[in-house]
Amino acid sequence: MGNIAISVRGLEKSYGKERVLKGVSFDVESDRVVGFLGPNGAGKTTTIKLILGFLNPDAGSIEIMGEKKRRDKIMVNIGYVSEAPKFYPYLTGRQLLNLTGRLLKMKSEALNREIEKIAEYLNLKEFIDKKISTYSLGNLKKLAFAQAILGDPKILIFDEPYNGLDPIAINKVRKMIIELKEKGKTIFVSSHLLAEMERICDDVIMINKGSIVISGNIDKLKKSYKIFSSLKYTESLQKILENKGIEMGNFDLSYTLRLQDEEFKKLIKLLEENVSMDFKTLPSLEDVFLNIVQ
Amino acid sequence: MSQIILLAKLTVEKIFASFLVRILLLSLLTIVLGLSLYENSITSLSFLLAFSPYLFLFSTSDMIKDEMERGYLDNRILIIASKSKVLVGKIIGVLLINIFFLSIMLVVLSILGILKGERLLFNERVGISLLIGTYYCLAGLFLGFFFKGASNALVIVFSQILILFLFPKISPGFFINIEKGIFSNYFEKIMGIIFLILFPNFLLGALKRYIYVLIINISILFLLILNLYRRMELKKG
Repeated sequence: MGNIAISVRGLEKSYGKERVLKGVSFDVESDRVVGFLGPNGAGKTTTIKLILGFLNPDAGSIEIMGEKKRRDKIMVNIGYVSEAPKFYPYLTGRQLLNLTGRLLKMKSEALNREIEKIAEYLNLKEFIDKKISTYSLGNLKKLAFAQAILGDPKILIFDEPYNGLDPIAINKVRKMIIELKEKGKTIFVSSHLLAEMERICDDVIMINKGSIVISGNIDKLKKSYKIFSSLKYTESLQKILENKGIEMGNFDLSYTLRLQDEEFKKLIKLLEENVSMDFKTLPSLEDVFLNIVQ
Repeated sequence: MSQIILLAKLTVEKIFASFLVRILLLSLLTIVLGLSLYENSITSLSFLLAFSPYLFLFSTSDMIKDEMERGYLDNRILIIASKSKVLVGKIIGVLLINIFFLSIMLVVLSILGILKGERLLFNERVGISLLIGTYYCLAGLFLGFFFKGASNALVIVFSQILILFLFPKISPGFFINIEKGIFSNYFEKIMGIIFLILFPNFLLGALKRYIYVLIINISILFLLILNLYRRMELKKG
């Protein structure tokens, strides 16, 4: 296991009587792209805002680069893009980036050079000197990315980065994330686009109803999930399984079993003799996600 | 420190861009110039010192709850700079821009006074007016946690209108005491202090010796809003 960039332990958060997070714990390893997946209202954005200090936890702890306290030297190493970025509308894009760079204590010449470079890279040059109030959602998102990567932070947190982007911009963001990963950045990204996550992420953390349901390396995760569908079985199957000491769930036409490899092989053999089935050996991330969440 | 100055500059830019502040500034300037030209510069100065604190108050519109709910704080600025720095930057920004406005108007008044051969006396009232402005700035920011737009400022203005009617009913002869700066018993004194908390502009008159009430209130409000801002949470996702 590499260095831990973000460590979350026993995080709890309630809004009134609604418990949004119920003891969330996970680690984000350095230099990896980690996807944070979950349905709407699962607690993704709340977790991200707690990590950033925008919300205060009811219980639990957060460590960023080994530090529990929000020290300036740590926080300057975090870049962030919110789900629906909004900035002071009376500023221009350049003024916002200039302010961010100066808060990061960047030297004026280097800052100007970097703003130009980022604007060029994100196709923002046309808009950079216009008031933010005139920006479309797509341009606001680009500006948020520009603000996030300014000053070369080590950790990048993207909350639904593809929201509001057209396919060309999505492609651009995907390339950017891959390039940032190659530069050794730690990227923690939440998204609903599971196929997209599968393309860019090394690891995933899945959250549902305020609890982490599974986390780990994508490939290992997929291999550990064997999904049956359209399972038709004879009446005797239940008895056979019971005789083998396998407890039957209330399974209808589809059912998921989580078994060790050896047990699984035995079960497959048994099933092949008694059932006809459409069997998927390598589920997609979406299959795994839907299976867990549903 | 430099981060606070940068954040103060951001607030100054916001106030400059505010339509409401521009209108109020223009109105105040027009009245001050009108009074100076058609009455005298001394009356004009008294008016300016009594009413310029409201410019501080209305400058705090849209400053807290609006920014939280509109998502203007949900970005990297609040990650790099702590919440305390962002708040102190706001306070300094409001104070600096309004001191700048007041200074310009005082310079204009001085020039007009010299042209008209009137001798303007810039005494401790200028300092008291600035302190009242500071108090309104903090009170506006405090109410800004609960009220959106300019309603934080309007709450104060309407409360003041209300107490102008209410206090004389509770204590007959109240305004005569305020004008003379004398309270004959503890009840009147307590009433007077409560009145000054809600309406500190009267410190510019005969109640100057109660300036400590204003200073205590400024300290309490500062600690209160610093604590509120540190505990502030951006809207749930």
